[in-house]
Amino acid sequence: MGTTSHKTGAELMTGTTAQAAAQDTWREVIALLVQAADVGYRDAEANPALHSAALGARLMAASAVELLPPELDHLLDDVVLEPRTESMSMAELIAAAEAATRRHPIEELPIGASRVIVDICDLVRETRQ
Amino acid sequence: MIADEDAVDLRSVGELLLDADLTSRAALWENGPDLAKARVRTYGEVVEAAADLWAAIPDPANDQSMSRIASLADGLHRTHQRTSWPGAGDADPHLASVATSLARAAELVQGRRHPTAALTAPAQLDAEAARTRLMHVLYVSAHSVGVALRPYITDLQRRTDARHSIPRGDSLARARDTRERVGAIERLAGVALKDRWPAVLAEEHREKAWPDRLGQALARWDLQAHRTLAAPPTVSNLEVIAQNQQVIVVATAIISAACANQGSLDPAAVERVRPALADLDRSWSGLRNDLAELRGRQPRLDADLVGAGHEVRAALQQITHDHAGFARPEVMSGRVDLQLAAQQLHQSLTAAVDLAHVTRDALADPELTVGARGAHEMAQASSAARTQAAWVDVGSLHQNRDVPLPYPVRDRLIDRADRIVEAAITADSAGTALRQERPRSPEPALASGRHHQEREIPKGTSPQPGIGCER
Repeated sequence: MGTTSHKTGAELMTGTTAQAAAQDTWREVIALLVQAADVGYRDAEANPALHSAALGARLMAASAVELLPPELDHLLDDVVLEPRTESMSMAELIAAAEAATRRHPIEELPIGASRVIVDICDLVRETRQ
Repeated sequence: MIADEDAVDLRSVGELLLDADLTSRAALWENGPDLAKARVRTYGEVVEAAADLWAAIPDPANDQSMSRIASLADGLHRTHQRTSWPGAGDADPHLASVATSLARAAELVQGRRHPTAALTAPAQLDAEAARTRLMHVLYVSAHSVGVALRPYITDLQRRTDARHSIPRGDSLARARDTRERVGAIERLAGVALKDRWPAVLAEEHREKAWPDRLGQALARWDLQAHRTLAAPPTVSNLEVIAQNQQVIVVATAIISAACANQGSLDPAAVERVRPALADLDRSWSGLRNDLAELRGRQPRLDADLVGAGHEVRAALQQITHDHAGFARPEVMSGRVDLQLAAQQLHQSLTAAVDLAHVTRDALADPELTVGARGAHEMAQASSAARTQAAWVDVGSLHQNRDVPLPYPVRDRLIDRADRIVEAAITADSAGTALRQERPRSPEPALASGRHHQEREIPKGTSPQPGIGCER
């Protein structure tokens, strides 16, 4: 169980530091998917075939948000992505979201994460040229 | 999982394997110390059923991964018999369900396949995908045993350290030994999956798109969008509705063009509809872009809306796409009755006229709030007469709180919605001729299996998600 004396709100919610760290990563995954959706939507003006995957990324972000406690929604606004993500394509951002999910054992991620991750893997395959 | 054991299990081998995979993952969520012995007890059954299924699936390469795992599990079982740990007792429900699914799949394969019959190339790829998924089931199940043993061992260790007695029937040494040996199985399965999971699953046989899937998905979406907008509206829900409507419009144009190309719709009629669809596409796009700028602190979407959106996207993707691009018209026509799909999409455009009106009403709802920063920027950029008062108060702006719509922003959004209503009516009128066209193709409506193979996803060369991608 929790090992630190200065717990954040997230740690108090879940009871463990590891799970709090995994929740932070999960928020990063959500931010990457939202950015992928926005980039995909922008690029779809030139290539309408991207509309579908952009919508898929947006819906997956929404599914991922559902797995977090609603009272911590405000933390989603605090996520800062690495600057290198600004030049990434939709496919690269989705792949980055999938890669981020590997930083933690599955049991530390929010319950139900497995289903979302499988969907992200499908989207990675779908957006591969 | 099978709810009623007396019921006939009609699931296919693929469905049974998928169910086993998902159920093994579900086992990861339960890890109390009380579960450990039941899970250890049941894991042997999982390996035994997996080995039977593996042996039934043809394997020209004669992969020995499963026999090594079965041998380890067999040794572990003998140890458990000799030491009476974990002893007799209940089975773990998740792993018992996995074992049942695998045993049923083995029966199906053994009963239907002639042992010496040669496999076609697609069947070989499907068999390879089945073995990969089966190995993944063993990998995750082994991990779930380790997950359950961890608190059990911690609990017994604490008792030992405190010089308390260990309950009768429990054993710290046996639990540790089992954890090491199941860990070895997990590592073996992990090595077998390396470079195969999940890439090989792309070759898994997929069922053809069922003819009415698109029609049902569109009807469900239309209903759900209305229900969602009947509740107090949010920018996030409105944005996704606009985005999904745009996806439907784009797909309507693509599928109609494919129909014209394949001779099942009059190319001149399709050409007449094209500008109206393009205008409707632009109208929804304009609203969606404005709403994206106005996102506030409302990250959540109506879960039912998300589900309906997923289904529309999947139903359309199955017809229109090959990887990141559109499929060729002849490939699309091999997947479904394209003319029927085009008619269903044009019918949905009729329903979309009403959805456009409802969207307009939602945008006029005084309860609708938006992000302060986006509202401020949009109001500042408008040509509305400036007043002495700011459009958004400084505190809300600083924290990007959700605020009521300033009137220039509301006017702009309602103007967008009016344009959508107008474009939707025009597109609906233009598509009337297409909805009444009869099939002109001499070929049967449904796709053949041979055509279906053309849309199977080839192996990619780009980096694959590796082992543990479910993390």
